[in-house]
Order: sequence, then structure tokens, then C-alpha cells
Amino acid sequence: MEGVMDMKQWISRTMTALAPWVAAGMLTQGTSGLRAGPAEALGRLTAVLVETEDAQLQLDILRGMSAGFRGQQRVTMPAGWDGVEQRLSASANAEVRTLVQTLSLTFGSQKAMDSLRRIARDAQAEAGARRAALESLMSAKDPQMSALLQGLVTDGAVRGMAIRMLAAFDEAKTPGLILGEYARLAAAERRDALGTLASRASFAQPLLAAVASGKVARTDLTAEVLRQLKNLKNAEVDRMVGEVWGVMRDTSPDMAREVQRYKALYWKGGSTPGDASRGRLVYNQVCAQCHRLFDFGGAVGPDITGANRTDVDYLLENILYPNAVIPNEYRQTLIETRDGRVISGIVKGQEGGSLLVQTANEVVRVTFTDIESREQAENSMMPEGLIAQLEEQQFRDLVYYLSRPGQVPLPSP
Amino acid sequence: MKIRQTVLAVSLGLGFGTVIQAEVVRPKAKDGRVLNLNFETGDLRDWKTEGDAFDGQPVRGDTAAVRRGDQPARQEGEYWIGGYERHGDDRRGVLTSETFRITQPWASLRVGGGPWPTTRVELIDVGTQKPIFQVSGMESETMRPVVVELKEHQGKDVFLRVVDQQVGHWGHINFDEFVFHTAKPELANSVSLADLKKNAPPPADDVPFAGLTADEAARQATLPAGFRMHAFAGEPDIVQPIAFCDDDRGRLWVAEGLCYPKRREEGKGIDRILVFEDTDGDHRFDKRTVFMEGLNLVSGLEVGFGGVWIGAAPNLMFVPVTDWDNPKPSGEARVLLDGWDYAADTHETLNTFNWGPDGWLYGCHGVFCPSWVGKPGAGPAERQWVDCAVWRYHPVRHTFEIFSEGGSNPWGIDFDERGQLWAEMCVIPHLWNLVQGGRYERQGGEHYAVGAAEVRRNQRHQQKFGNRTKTLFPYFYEDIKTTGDHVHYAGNKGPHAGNGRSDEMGGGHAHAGMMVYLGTSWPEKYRGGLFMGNIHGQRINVDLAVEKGSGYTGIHSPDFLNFNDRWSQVLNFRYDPDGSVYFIDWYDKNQCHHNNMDGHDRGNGRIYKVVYGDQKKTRVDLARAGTDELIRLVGSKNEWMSRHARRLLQERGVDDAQRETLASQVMTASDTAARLRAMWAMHVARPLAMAEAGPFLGHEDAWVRSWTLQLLGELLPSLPEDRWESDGMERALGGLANLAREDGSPVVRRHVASLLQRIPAGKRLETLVALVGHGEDATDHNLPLLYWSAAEGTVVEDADAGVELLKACRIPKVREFIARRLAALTVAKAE
Repeated sequence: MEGVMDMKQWISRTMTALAPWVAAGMLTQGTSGLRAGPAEALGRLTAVLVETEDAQLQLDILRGMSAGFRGQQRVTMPAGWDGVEQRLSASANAEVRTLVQTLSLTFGSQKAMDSLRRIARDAQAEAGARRAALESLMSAKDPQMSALLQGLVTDGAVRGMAIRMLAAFDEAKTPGLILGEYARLAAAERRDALGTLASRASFAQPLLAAVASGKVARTDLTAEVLRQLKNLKNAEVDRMVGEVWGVMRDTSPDMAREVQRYKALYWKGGSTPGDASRGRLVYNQVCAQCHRLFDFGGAVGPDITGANRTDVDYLLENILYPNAVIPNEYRQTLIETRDGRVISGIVKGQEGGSLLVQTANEVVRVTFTDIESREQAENSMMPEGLIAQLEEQQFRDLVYYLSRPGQVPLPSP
Repeated sequence: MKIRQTVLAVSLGLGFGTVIQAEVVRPKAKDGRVLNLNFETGDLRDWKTEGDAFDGQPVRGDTAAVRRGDQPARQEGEYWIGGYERHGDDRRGVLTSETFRITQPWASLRVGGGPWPTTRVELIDVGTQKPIFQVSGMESETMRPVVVELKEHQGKDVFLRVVDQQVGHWGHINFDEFVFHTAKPELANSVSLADLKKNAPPPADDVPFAGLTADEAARQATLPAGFRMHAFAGEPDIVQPIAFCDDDRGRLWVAEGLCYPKRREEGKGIDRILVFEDTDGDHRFDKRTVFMEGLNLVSGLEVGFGGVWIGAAPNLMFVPVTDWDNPKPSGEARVLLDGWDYAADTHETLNTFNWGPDGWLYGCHGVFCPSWVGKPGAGPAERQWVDCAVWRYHPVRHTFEIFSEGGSNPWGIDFDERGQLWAEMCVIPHLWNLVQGGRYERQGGEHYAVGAAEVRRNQRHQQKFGNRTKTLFPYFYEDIKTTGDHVHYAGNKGPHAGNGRSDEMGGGHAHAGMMVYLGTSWPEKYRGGLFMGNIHGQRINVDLAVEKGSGYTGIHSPDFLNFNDRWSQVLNFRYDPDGSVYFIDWYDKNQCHHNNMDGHDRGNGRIYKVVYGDQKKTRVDLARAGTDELIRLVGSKNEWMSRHARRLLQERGVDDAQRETLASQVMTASDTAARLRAMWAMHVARPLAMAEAGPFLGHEDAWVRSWTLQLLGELLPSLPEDRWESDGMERALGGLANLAREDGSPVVRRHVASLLQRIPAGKRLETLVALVGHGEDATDHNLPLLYWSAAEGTVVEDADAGVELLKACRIPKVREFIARRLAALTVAKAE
């Protein structure tokens, strides 16, 4: 045997084998007919709905259409939809009725939109119903949306969502409205506010001015917010960040030395360098937004309960150098929309014509047509410099807590 | 949808209020006095104390909420027993209530705190002195009402006991208010006793050993009766065995993965390939040859076709060998493919090579390695994105394909007697029967386009990873799920939470290696068993495949072997000509991938051999056998013989008469396995041609018909485009449609669906219409999803074809997907 067999010999064998496929004698039935392009696809689909009496087929098609349009704010109403709407809104099947209604909204029914706006504004209505109405309107791209949302910034029941949604609209009034309410916002709502204000250069400047004037605490600019600001790639924003925060330091390339330095700092705390309960508090402030540990925390990053936590080197390496080893699934993507919003997050998938992006705060849905650029960053969604923000003992407490085998109580007051 | 939810919420809100309220009845002492079972007296009257855990109880107010806002105590009234609140976790004690009678069919009590058997509240039957029920905390300070049915126990005299015998982590119990109810109560945040039992964390595993020598380990392992485990080789003769295979003489070729977890600088690799041989038959090696040194990040290994196939990211390489008596390279390593990622998750790169029944080299690849694979020098258009996949490479035609897409980090594949591919995985469920063209559940990330046509159709979904391009395939709306009906980890809190406490379930979520045992020296019950190494469980699992519809269900079978040594980690298996089994043991204290260069102990590693009864080691050298002898051996029930004979026939080719012998065996052999063995051999020696396939397609055995389709499909992607337009090809496709319409076997239809994906999308319609008319396939594990896989391209290229398919379709799920794709198509066009 002389290594790998001769290629020519095999090409000839291959063609010999294929020839009989071509020569094979078997019955045939041709396919024919007028071929439709993609633009007509929806019309053809609607035509099947008009024709069929099969309730299951109606349901299958409606389910498929609804899923196919998910993330799609507005679709041109196909010819014949009026008839479908009229006929199937009287269907005996509740799901058929619901789907027809939803699809009608997607096709721009004014009536549906009006009633949703009423629910969204109604302070007496149940908060869950109001939020659902806002989501529906948002996804139907209601032309009156930004005004509606701005009016809700002062509404305690739905303002968190309203503030998050406002990031989608390049409206000069928005930063002032949010900053005016900032002092009254709860912790989670402040995170929403910072997320929105750091999403556009035009919002970031009033935010940084508010920090400079002390209206927003400097410490509220967490590592995530700072990184989001950096991602805006705007010189004026960078300058203002530099003024209120100092220059953002790039991490030292010498990973081994840096890990050793922090390790020494850690063990300087003695044989039990930290307090696990206090560490848990630090975890809740710094890590829990994204990572789950002992069944508590967010799902932006990996669940770290099963990670190699007892190894201090491993912990330090991963906290100090989140970019050293990043599974692709946790690499951040920067998406810039046509109207200047920058979304930093992990792409979770797509639905219909939209991309789903997990940011530190929420899952944002961006229509493909709104995307100006999409760039997979080389770095992890996890920001560097998380430890640098901590006091020395806080750092020890955190690492000590992270290396515990199980949950500990929070500290006594 | 959203509007509807709103409306529903409103109408439901109005609809409430008619729930029958269960009345509360407080337990009384014999003298009629209401007992202090909710501590609202502010003291422990009606309770007897032992130990010091409950000194100072009850607690007033929600001190837990003050201490930690996320877990308020949610006590009833003002007072409650807060086990941690006074003295923390480290005291022990018992509270015992006065006796009372069960007067109602239901009761509830509030319990929080430690999850242990030693932190519990129990109701004791005075008559038997045994507990009627026991309940522990749920690792939360918050007390949840536990609802208990006591219908069976009405009239009995009982008392409560609040027990804290645990110190340390969650070493306390919280308790408040035991009351009866006249009917089943509806209590906010309540939990039933049955649910609690279901959610209880399993106990931690007790593994007696760690860090044994190879010989000790062989003695301490638990095996079924009649088996014996031998330390075939151990450190220092072998370290870090990461991949292995066997040659035609039954020698073991083993790769030492010393570079792992990082590829070293060019030219500074330290990985080796060693050849081990047992010449005196004592089940331990006595001859060891260093075949090659200086390799870099080796992860896969096979032998055949005049050399050695080595996976060492970024390369798949071939190293020629001429002198097999003293194996050494006879020429330079030739890079066949490059672009395999070696920077990301290096425990998932190309691995566990195995020759398939069809003569391709099969291998695995994991989800977090972004690979961009092609021949050296290939441009972007000639490369295939690969993250999780089983791929195959033809050793003679030098073509590369994705066989199935999806999964997590498969590290082990083998084939059963029907040529079905079995793979194991980690984190996601472990057992997979992967079928050609199937798309499977992924641990993360999105499906990608497979093959040039699909890449072309999905151009607008490209994602750049540096200079690599992942073309996403977002239209596979539902993944094919695990073949298994079980997992090997315990608890309901996810795969990782089961680490170290999954003894009863099979050891844990992480697996490596796959062997479908097809040797002949082990008891019959093991034949066909699916053997997998279980990393966290230091053992070997066995699942059994039970036929179901177009595929299988994998059921759990008792573990085959337990090392009883935490450091053992079996990475792969091979059975030898005698039916005895070798496996490599990575052997490391660290069980997880670790990018730290010092994270792994590079000083150890083992090869074990498990022998049944007094099975001897026999000498064999199949390469010396004549072709007729090989043709005879291909039919052997001893799969090692059959496989090696088949591969040698592939290398040598056969003449017309020899091929005719094999073809007639396909028709006349008495069982499926024998028919398929003959068919595979004739195909690898010279590809099966349509002209000779007619009788096979008419064979009564569905597996023969199925494999005929799979083998005929092999060469289709290389068919020039203009040839598809010929009249003969149209007729062949018509024949395929007839088969799809009329064949009664779901297995055959599955193979039609796989084959269709290799045919241009514009040529599939007639066959698709025939497939989706089989309404009886709607509940099959694979078929609806494979039909959709085959249909997607056709629907996209021609919306009318999509509508025609929709009308012909009798499978609701596929109809929904067609409509969904057509809707999405319209939207995309509008953009």
C-alpha cells in the first residue's frame, strides 16, 4: 500500500458509479405550473386559507404565519386578508380567533392599535396587561410610540419598561425626562435608565453632564455602563467619561503576573481571607446581574455553580481576564442601528426579521432593516475591571464567597 | 397574541371568587385548649425542648428579611421558629409538641431552612411512634406552606417534632403554624409534600478512592461477575492518553495529549503516538514503540489506507507507513484539511475518529470551537463552517462533509449492526442516534448552513468570526431531541448541579467515548449495548437501543463498571479480535476542561483491558489474509473481523466475481446484519451503482432498502449540474418519489428524507409531496423534522412548490413550518 490511493483512479470509479443513475429507467411524473416569487408567497398562503374548510390546516397556517412574522413590526396586508379576517374571527376555535386578531394587528389594523394604547395609558389597569399592551404596540411599530412612552416615565407601574423601550427612539427630550425622574427611580429602574442613556451618544452626553453635576452618582456608572459608553465610539463621550471617571485602563497583558498580584492580595487577608456572607453581598451587586450561582442570578453569562470555583487561580484568571477564554456564545456583539443606537450584547438568535440580543438588562429585538452595522467583538460580554472597582476587602470577600461549595446566608445587619 | 393575553387576564380576573374556601381548624389538646402551634403566645408553651438549638425561641417579626432581603421568613402572625436567627447554624436540638388528635382530612405547616434529613419537621403517630410525614427546608429562609393530606390518618393521636441535628451549611430549621383544614387549602406559594420529595437534592456520592496506582485501580473497580479488569498499561509507559485505535494485528495505537490544553508554538509540540502490543498474551503490554513525536495538540487518531490519520487542530493529517512490523513514518505528514479551531475550547476539537460502515472516516467536533474547514489553500467558498457536528472524510476521494449538525461536545461515536451512528454528549442529554442530514439540539449558538447550496440560500445570515464566516441557518424551527429516555444526573436543577450526587442515576452529565459492543466473547446480553465513559461518575454507563418508529429509544441499563476512584475518566473504548475491551483512562484529579497550563497532571494515564471468563489473547494479522478470506471474514459476527476485513477490501478493491459474491450475499443472507455487512463491503470496494441497485431497492428487508439509498446518495453532490436535467435523472427521481409514496417502512422514509437533502432543492418536490402525505409519521421522533430539513430549500426557491407541498401535507407540524417559512420569505423580500 503506497499511502493514500491515486485520485484519478477514484474519479473514474466515481463517474462509473454515477452514470447508471443517469441511465436508470423509472417512471416519472413532471411538475409544472406558474412559479411564484417570494413577494407573492404571502398572497398564495392567504389564498389557501380562503379556500380550505379544514380547521387544522387553518390553524397550522396561522400558527406558521404568526411565528414567521415574530419580531416583525409591520407587514403589508396581503390581498384577501379582509375575507380571512371576517371569516375566521368567527371560527369555533379560540386559537384561530386569537391568531387572526394578532395577525391583523401586524397587518396594521387601526382599531386594534387604538384599544391597546388605551390600555397602556390606563393607570387603573393591571400592570401586566399594560406591559403586554406596550410590547404589542412596540412590536407593531406604533407611530405614536415615543410620545406614549415619554408620558409613562413618571408612571411607577410601567416606567421601567417605558424607559427601556425609549432607547429605540432618537428623541432629544428623552434624556431630560429620565434624568428628571432619576432620583425617584428604584435600583432596577436606575439600571434601565442607565442602559437607555448609554445607548446613544446623544443620550450619553446629558447623562455624563448629570454625573459631573452630581445629579447621578459617579459610582452608578458600573463597569457595564462604562463599557457601553466606550462602545459608542464617540470622542465627546470618551472625553466626558475621562473627566468624570478618569481614563479607562486597558488590562495589563501580563496575565500571569497580574493573577499573582491579586492572589497575593487575596492571601494577605489571612488563612480565611474573606467573609462569605459579605462576599455574597458583593456578588449580588457585581455579578448576579449576569451570572447564576447557587440558583440565584441572571442568565446573561454562564451559570457558574458547576465551574471550577475552588481554584483561586481559575477564578482570578476568569474575573481579571474575561477575554482570555471566551466561548463564542459569550462573545459580545455590537449592533449599531441606523438612527444611532448602539446595543452591546450576546446574540441569542433571530425571529422573523429580527435579531434577539441579550444585553445586561433585557432581551432587545432589532429588526434587520434597522441594523446599520453588526460587529462581533473579540471580547467577552463580561467587562474587565470589575475587581478594580472594589475595595480590597470586598475583593477578598467576593473571591472567598465564590470558592464556597454552597450558598451562605447574607450578612446580619 | 398579546391582545388576547390581555383580554384573557381581564376575564379571568372577573371569573375568580367562586373557589371553595377550606376552613382552618386549630389543633387542640385533650382538655380542649387550643395548642400553641403557631407560637403566637410568644413562648414555647405546649412544647418540650432538648438541646440548645432553640434557646430563645420563638423569634418575633421577620428578622430574616432584615438580615437578607431576598429571603423574608414570611411567618404567620408575629412569632415563629427561626433556627438561624438566635444562634446560627452550629447548635442542635429538638422541639416536641403536646399530643393532639387529627380531626380533619388536610393540614398545612410552614417550613424553611436546611434541606437535610437532619433539619426537619415531622408528625409522629403516638400509636406506632413512627412519622406520618417528614419535611425539610428548601435552602431558603422563606417558609413555604406545605400542604399535607391526612385523610388516611384521621382519628389518630399525634405530636409534632422540630428537629435540628445539623451543623454548618444550612444547619438550621424554620417552622411556624401547623393547622388543619376542612378541605384542600389554596395557599399562596404553597408546595405539596409529594413535590417536595421530588425536589429533594440527592445525597452526595461516597467515592472511596482517589489517586490509586493502575494496578490498585484494577483491583478496586467493581465489575459484573465473570469479568476481569487488567492494567494493560499505566504511567510512566503511557501518560495523557487522549485518543486511540487498533490496527489489523490488534495492536493499540495511542496518542499522548501532552500539549493539551494549548497548541504550542510551531515546531515545539510534545505529543506522541505510541504503539502497544501484548506478545505473550497476559493482557498486559510487553512491547511499546514510539511511532511519532513532536506532534502538537493531538486529539484524534485512526489507522488505515497505508498510514495513520491524525487530528491535531488546525489540521487533519495523514502520515504514511510502509514498515508495519516496526511502525515508523515513511514520509512527511500530509495536511488533508485545515481550519480546525485550536484557540477556543480545546477539549472539543476534532476527535474520536472511527471508520464508518460506508468506508468514510467519521469524527466529532464540539460546539464552542469555531472551525472553518477546507483543504489547505482553499478559499472561503470552498470551506465549511463547523461547530458542533459529526463530520466525515472520504479516505480515497478526499471529500469532506457534515454528516449531522448540532449537539454539544460529542467525544465518541460508534456504529451498531445496522450501521446506525451512536454518539454521546455532555451537558445536554447524553444519548444520540444521529442520522444523516439531521439537525440536533445545540448546547449553544445557532444552526449553520451545511453545504454550498444552503450557504448560498442563506447569504444574508452571515456572521464573521475574524476571517471565518458562519452562515447561519435560522429556519430549522425545531431540533431533533435526544434518543435517550433518561439522563444520568440526579436532581431537577440542571446537569451541573448533579455533579458529585448522581450515583443512583448513572454518575453525572458528562460523558466520553462510545462503544457499541459487537464482540463475541462477552455474554449475549451485552451485545449491541451502548457503552459510555461517565466522567464525574468514574464509571462506564450502558444504555440499550429499543427500536421505535424510524429510530430508537435509548433506555438505561445497569452501569457496567465503577472505578470507585474519583480520578478515573474513560475517554474511549475499542474491542479487540477476541471480543475483549480496551479503554483509555485520562486519569486526572481535575475533571473539567481547564485552560490553565498547570491545570492538568501530565504524569499519569492508563489503558485497561476487560476480559470475560478465561478468554485468551489470540494473534491475528488480517493484512496477510487473501481477498477471498477477507470476503469470508466480512460476514463474521465478530465485528472486529468484519470491520478490519471491510477496510482492507476498500484499500485493495475486488474483482467482478468477488463483487458478485458479495452482491448475492446481500440478497440471500438470512439476517439484516449479514446482508448489510456484504453490502457495505461491496460498496467500499467499488461504489454501489444504480444499475445494480434495483434488486436491493426491492428487497424485503427495510434496512437493505434504506442503506441502498444512503450509499447511492453518497456521490450525488458531485454530480455536475447539467446531468440533473437529463431524462434518465428525471426518471430516477420519479422512482424515488414512488418509493417515498409506497414504502411501508418509516426507516426507509427516513433515508429518503436524508437522501433528498443531497439532491438540488428544485428537484425534490415530487418526492417531498409523497413523504409529507404520510400522516402516520406525524408523531415520529425524526421524520417530521427531517422532512422539513429536506423541504426548506424547495419552499424557499419556489413559493408555489411550497404551497403545493402545504396542500399535500398531512403532518401539522410540517404544514406550520411551511407556512412560517413562506411568511418569513415575504418579509425578507419586502426588506
